[in-house]
Amino acid sequence: MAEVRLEHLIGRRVLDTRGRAIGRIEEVRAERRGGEWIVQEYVLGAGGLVERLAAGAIVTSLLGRWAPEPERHTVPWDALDLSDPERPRLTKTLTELRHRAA
Amino acid sequence: MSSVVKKLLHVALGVVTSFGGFLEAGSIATSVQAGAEYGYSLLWVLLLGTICLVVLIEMSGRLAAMSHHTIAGAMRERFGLRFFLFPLLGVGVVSVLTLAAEVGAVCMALQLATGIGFQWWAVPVMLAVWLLLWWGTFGMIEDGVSILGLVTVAFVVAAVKLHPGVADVARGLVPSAAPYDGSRYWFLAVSILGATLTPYLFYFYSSGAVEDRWEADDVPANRFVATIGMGFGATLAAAVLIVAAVVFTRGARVESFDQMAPMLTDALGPWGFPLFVAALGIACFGAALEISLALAYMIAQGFGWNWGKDVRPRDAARFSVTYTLALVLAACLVIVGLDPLRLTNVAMALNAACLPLAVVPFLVLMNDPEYLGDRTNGRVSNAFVLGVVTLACVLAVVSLPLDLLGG
Amino acid sequence: MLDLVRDVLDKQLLDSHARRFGKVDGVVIDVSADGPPRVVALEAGAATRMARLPRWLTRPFARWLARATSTRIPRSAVLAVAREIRVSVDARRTPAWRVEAWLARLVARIPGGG
Repeated sequence: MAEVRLEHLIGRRVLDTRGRAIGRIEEVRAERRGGEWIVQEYVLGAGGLVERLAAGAIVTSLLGRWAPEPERHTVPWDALDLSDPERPRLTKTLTELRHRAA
Repeated sequence: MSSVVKKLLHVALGVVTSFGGFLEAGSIATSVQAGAEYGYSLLWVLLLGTICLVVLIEMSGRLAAMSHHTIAGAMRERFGLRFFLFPLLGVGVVSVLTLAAEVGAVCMALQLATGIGFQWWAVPVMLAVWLLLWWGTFGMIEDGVSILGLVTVAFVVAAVKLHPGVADVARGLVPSAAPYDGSRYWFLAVSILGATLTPYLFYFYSSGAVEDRWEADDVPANRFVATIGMGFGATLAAAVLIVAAVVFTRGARVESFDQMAPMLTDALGPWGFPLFVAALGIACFGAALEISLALAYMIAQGFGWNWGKDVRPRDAARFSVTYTLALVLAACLVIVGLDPLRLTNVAMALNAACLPLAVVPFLVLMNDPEYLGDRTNGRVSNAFVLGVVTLACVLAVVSLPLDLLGG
Repeated sequence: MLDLVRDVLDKQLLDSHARRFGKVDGVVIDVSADGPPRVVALEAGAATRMARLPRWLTRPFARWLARATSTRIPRSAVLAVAREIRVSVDARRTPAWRVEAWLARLVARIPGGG
C-alpha cells in the first residue's frame, strides 16, 4: 500500500504535462461513501504566500472591487500523478481538463 | 443561568481584564515617563492605543462567540502547524518578557515597602502567583484581584486633586509632533502603544469567552464590555500620566520605580507612598496571573491539550506545567538582576514590534465567514487596526535600536 | 464533500470520553494504483508534527525526535467531523497520551495537584 501524507502534500508545487509549474496543492476534497473517504479532487492555487494564508480576505475587504482575483484550478483525482509525492504532476493538460468539466 | 446574570458576568470579565491587563508595569512605567518628560503631549497615543484595543478586544469576543474557538485554537486550525508557530513564538517570547517585567515590578513594590532588595522577592512572588493558579479557582482570583485592584483608583483621585489645566490636558489628546528630542518622544509613543496593545490581553479574553460559552447573541453585550472595560483601564493610565506631568519637573528622566514612589504624596499626603506601592504591587500581580494563564492557554490551545482556568492540575497536566515553567523563566530573569524598569521598557517596545505577527493572522480570521458567520469585520475596522499595528511596528523597529544605543 | 485541509487537518480531536487529546497533525492517504485515493487514518503526535517542520529547525532535536511517538487513528474510528473531530478511541490507551499521563503522575504528587 503506497501511502501519501496530506500534510506534506499541501503547498507542493504541481507541474503540468509540459513540466511547467501551474500552482500549489491547497485543498484535497473527499467524498464520504460507504464508510470510506474517497478523494475526488485537488484544488490548486496560484501559491503566493498571501494567497496561501488566505489573507486575501483582508485584501478583498480593503480593496473591494479592485482586489485581484485569486487563480484556482480544480483537478480531478485521476489527473494528478502522485507516484513521486514530492513532485506531483498532472496527467492531462488543462485544456483537456476544461473540456471534461464542460 | 439567566441572561441578566450572564450579561453582568460579561461586564465583570471585561472590567477584570482591564484591571489585570490594562494597568500593569508597562502602562504605569510608560505613562509616568511620558508624563514626566513630555507633559500631556503623549495623551493622544494613549487614546489611539485604547481605541485600537477596544476594537481588538471586541473582535476577540466576537470570534469566541461566533466560532466557539479561541484565537490561538483558531489560528492553528486555520493556518496549519507551520504558520501558526510564527505568531506563537512571537507572542510567546514577548509575553515571557512582559511576565518578567510584571514580576519585577511586584518585587520592586515589595522592595519599596520593606527595604529588602527586589531580587530576593522573585522566588516568593513567583510562588504566590503559582499557588493561586495551582490551587485557586478562577472565580476567587478574579474577585480578589478586582477588589484589591480598586486601590489603583488612587491615581484618579490624585489626578483630580492636582487640578491639571483642563485645556492643557485636552490639547494633549490631539496628535502633535515632538516638542523636543524627537527620537525619545517617538520611543515613548511606541512604548505606550506596546503597553496598551499587549497581545496576551485579547488572547486571554477569547479564552474566557469560550469557557463561558458565549453565543451569537452575546455579541452586542461584548461590544459594551470591551468599551467600558478598556475605557476604564485607559482612564487609570491617563490619570497616572497626568499625575506624573504635574508632579515631576518637565523633562525629568525617571530611571527607576523608586523614583516614581513619591508621586502621589503631593496630592494624597502621607497616604501617597503606601498607596503607590500597593497599586503597583497589586496591579502587576494581577497582570502576572493573567499573562501566565494566557501563555499556557496559547500553547495548550495550539496543540490541542486540555486547558481551563478551573480544571485540576492533574486533569490538564501539560497546561499546568506550561504556566509553571513560564513563571520560573520569568522569575529567573528577575533574580539575575535585570533592572525592572529597563526590562519593562524593552518588553513594551518589543510588544509593539511583534504586533503585526500577533494581530495580522487574527485579522485574517476575523474576515473568514467560516469562523464569523455573517459578522466578519468591516472595511473600516480592518483598515484601522492594520494602520495602528503597522505604525506601532515601524516606530518600534526604528526607535528601539535608537533607545538601546542612546542608553 | 469533505475538505480535508480545511475541515480535518489541524482540527481538535476528542476521544470516546469527549476528552481533548491533541489536534489532527497528519492525514494518511492510500494511493494504490487502482481507483481513487482513500483516506486511511488520522495521526496525532509529536513525531508527525516535527515531520511537518523544516529540517533545519528540527535537527537540533533529532535525538528527542527519535523517541517521540504518534498515534494513528484509523478512519473507521472517526465518529463525527464537526467543529471537533470525535473518534471512538480512548485517549488514555494511546501513545499520544504518554506525556500527559507521565506529567499527571508528577503533578499529582505536588499538593493541590488533584
